[in-house]
Amino acid sequence: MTITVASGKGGAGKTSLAAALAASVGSSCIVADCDVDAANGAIALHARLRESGPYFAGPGYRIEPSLCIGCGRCMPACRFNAIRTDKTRRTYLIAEELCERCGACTDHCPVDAIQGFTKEAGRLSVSDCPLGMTLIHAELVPGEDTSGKLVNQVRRRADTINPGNAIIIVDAPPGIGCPVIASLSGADIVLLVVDSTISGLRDSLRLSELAAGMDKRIIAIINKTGLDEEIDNKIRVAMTQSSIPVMGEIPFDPLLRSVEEKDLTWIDVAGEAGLKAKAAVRAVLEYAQMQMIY
Amino acid sequence: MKLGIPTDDGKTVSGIFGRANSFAVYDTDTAELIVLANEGIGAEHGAGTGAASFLAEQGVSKVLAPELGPKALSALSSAGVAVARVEAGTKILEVVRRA
Ligand code: SF4
Ligand code: SF4
Repeated sequence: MTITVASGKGGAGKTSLAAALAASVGSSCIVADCDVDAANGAIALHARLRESGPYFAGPGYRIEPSLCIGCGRCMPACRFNAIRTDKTRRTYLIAEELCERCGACTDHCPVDAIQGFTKEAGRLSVSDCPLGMTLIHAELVPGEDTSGKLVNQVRRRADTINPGNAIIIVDAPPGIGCPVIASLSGADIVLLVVDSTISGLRDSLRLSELAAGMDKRIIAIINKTGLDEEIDNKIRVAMTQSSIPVMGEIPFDPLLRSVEEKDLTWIDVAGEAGLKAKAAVRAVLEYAQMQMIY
Repeated sequence: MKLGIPTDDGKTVSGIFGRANSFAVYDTDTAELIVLANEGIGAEHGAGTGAASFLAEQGVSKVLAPELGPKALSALSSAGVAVARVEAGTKILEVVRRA
């Protein structure tokens, strides 16, 4: 059973909610932190590193200067204008920051001067959490972006560790791009964390359209309610109209924020917000259990 | 007609499309089944689009998969490849028998 926790944008409380979910499932839970640009799953869960290995991005492409004959045929082949030359037109080179790594240029070089290479772009790690869960996470070297490939590798590692019946919780990156699609693919349930703001609603609806297009079961939790009754209502209506069951609402409460500094998650917070978080998380897990039976 | 099915182990349907380890291609006319490695598995972005055009090049006219991303879906439809849903984990042989 894989539950992907997603929100159209960052800061909606996705990672905290994923941590609270994991804490409720307990030690058998595996958390795949795919939000690698803000990989704070390790912090939220107070994880200790068990093992770590390099992550190789690639292939990237470069022109080997000793082989390039300066014919210039590669230049028009690049749709991203990533191939540059100086005034002498004797050497050509690929501007790494513009290259989308599509490989189209390699087909046009008569002397095979354009070569693929892989490079270490970060590390993929497995960590143990004090509450017993296992966390898979990645760290990228600055400048590397979260890619579908990286997300896929984090997911695959989680699947390898899974003894068979574990609940895997995927913390998806924000947005609706390629890494998000990779986070949703193969998920049994998509849990939408809707930030109770106009932009939060808009981003969530975009994401739910994407997930619905992939035939996903979508459920939602509305976070930070109680600040503006009108917006809260708008979101409730929008969720009903999109046939997305709302598993709970978590009111805005600074207490929820403070919890991450201790060895705790949202479900340990005293007061209304904590209780509602607990109820919402329980509703999600009951929903997941129902899906497993049927 | 050729059918394309994503697979990780060569035997059962994979839950994912663009980054499946390989694709089973079944020819309903000759009853020939081949498994081709997915060379696009290491692409940073756009693995689904790459897989779609790869299968179209192989002459596949129908893709059977549990789910398809939006870009893969539009790439398949612009290549004139039909799609149908099958459950992840189903045996490939069973899928082609039913098709
Ligand atoms: S790999 Fe693609 S993007 Fe990069 S230089 Fe070659 S054609 Fe341009
Ligand atoms: S096509 Fe090859 S040889 Fe010609 S300019 Fe490009 S890299 Fe150099």
